[in-house]
Amino acid sequence: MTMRTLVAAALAAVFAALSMAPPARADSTAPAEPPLRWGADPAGGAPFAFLDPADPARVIGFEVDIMEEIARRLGRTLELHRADWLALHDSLEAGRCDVLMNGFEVTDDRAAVARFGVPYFAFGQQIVVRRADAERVSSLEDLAGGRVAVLNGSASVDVLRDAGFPDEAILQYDDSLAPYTEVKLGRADAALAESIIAAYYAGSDPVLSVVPGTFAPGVYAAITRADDAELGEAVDAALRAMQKDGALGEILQRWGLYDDAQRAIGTGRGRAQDRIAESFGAASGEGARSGARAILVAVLEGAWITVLLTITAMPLATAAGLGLALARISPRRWLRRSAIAYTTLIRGTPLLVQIFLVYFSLPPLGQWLHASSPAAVQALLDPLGGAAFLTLPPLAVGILCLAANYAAYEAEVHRGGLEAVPAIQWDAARALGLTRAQAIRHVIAPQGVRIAMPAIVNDLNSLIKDSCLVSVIGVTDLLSVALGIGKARFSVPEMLVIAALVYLVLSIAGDLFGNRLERRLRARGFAPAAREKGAHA
Amino acid sequence: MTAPLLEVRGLRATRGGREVLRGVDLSVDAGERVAILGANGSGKTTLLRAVAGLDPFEAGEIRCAGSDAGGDTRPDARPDARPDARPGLVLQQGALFPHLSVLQNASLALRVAKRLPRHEADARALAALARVSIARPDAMPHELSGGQQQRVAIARALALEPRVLLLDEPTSALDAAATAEVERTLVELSQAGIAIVIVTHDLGFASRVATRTVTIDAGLLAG
Repeated sequence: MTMRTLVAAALAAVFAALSMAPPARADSTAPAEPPLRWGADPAGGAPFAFLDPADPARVIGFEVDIMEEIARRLGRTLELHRADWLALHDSLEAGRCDVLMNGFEVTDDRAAVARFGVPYFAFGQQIVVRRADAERVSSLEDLAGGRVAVLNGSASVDVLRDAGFPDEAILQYDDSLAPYTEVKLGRADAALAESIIAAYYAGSDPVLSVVPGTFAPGVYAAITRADDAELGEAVDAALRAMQKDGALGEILQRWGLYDDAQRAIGTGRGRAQDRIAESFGAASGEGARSGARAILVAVLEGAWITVLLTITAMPLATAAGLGLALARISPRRWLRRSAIAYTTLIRGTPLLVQIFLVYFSLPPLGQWLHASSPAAVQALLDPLGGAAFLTLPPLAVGILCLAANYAAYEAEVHRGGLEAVPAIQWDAARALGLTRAQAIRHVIAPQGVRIAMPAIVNDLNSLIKDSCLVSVIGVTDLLSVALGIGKARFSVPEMLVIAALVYLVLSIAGDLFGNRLERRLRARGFAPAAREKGAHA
Repeated sequence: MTAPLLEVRGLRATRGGREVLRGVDLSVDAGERVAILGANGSGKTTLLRAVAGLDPFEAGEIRCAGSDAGGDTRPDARPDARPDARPGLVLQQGALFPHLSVLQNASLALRVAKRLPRHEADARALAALARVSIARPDAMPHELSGGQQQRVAIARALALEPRVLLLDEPTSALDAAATAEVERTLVELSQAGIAIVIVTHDLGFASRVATRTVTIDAGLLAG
């Protein structure tokens, strides 16, 4: 039966995906130290942690170098946990990673809910304007009445509010590059961000001008969980040692980031370093050609994740949707009502919200279930990660959410298919002595699924593109890879066009597959049921 | 004289608040071919569906080859202990399962409802198909002519070895040649001892195939 093979294939692919993904938690019985799981958003931008323009499979940045040095000093390997920047703190609290270091400014608001460690970088805010405005603007006061673009949730937002800018004049974007693009395009009059961001994104831009002088100084610090004081102190100790012995200063010099402000927070200069920042060269041109191959590989890897999400989620959604549709036509009222409640809830809320909620509620749910289970059940859960057994990797959560969401839509499609099966087919099955369940399983459902197939193929096409939403929980699918490369190479529009073309190819492939499936079903002798009138006198 | 294979006594049925059957009596012996004629809405299909166990009835008694469905108005609760207690039913064209082959159509009930092993179900289904001269068990229904399709539908009912065979407008969508095929098949079956009841409004077909014709009018049978 086609349906069954599809579902089996989907399950196999899910398991393959799970075994490919890094384990949610290292085996607690292993004597070696577990890897230090560092949470960061490589899509956030340079020079913190970002995709290497010359090799997008690699994440580079001064924070990568600092974290690697910390992990080395702690005798642990470093493992990057990717997530949307705004979701990083929840990832930490959910136990998906151990430490955050990704340009988190120490603010009073944040310090109230997070444990900040020793500062590793001191910054000031810096204004960037179009070159034409450079003479006119020298401070925030000169921007009064204009619109200023900033990174969503960054300290720059507070700086602008304190300076009296109304909220509608503060344009917030999800990554560091977008504010500068908006200034160039004229949608914003200025961009405000930490000086290192300004230097990286606007420093060499022919259209933009960095306004000299910084203000509203602040510091970045790593964040650990409040209940994980041991790790927090270990990271602090390592950072203090790196400040003293010059290791931190050397890293900052290598990235061209060392200045007097760093000395002021106790970071020694270390040995003098040339400002290398070799990867920056790639972005500006000559390394671009050698990077093309690496970009292609990264895009294809992203495309594979998109394909994997689709070919696992869609069969699961189709099967679950059929179950929901059968519940809808069940004689049991509670089953019908449950199915209606599920489809109404899922279809009535944004998929993006569902992905976030599931991703962050699974770990505490798992811990709660684990804690409230008897010891025997806990022992069974131990090989699955103990209290963390529901702390599934992002890819698995992504597949789960897409499948659960599309199941609600497929349920409606299947319901239409089941209801389109002529009544005479029910009569024939019952006249042969089949029970209701047997009639559904052997006569009605196989025909209903065939009738629903064109609509299912249509939804498959739509899922290929909706799958990009799971990038918010750190799944490196096609769109997130393309955006990451685009931001690292200042070529977002070009990468978006490339991503769109790959989506188009995938979508055409999905249609071809769907048409083949429909043809095969027709070849198996299914004449459209609509032509066979089941009416009787 | 043996007891009739099908015996209906005082059957009353209401549909949509209207009394469609108002005390129908019908008795069919082995080897008989009874055609029930009647206008649309006369109640002939209601009668057939009640006898087949598809729809409930309010009062009366239906005995099929010794069984008794009387009084129990739940359609799914018919006694089914004896293999021939349930009459076979052949519906209008289009009742074959389009996604199953001819053989699968004929063996489905044996495998699923009777829980016979596959080889036994297939053997019985093939025997039933042979009785109606269908030689292409692997064909799909849409590959067959209309007459062949109705003969497969008959074989599907026969596979369960009923003593009584009910047919609801079996020739409504068939041309003359296909109708003749069905006629021949029904005559052969009744000669083998099966009682046949045909609901039809095709007077020519009824006159050629039936050993006895009854008319239903306003919920009552008239010989």
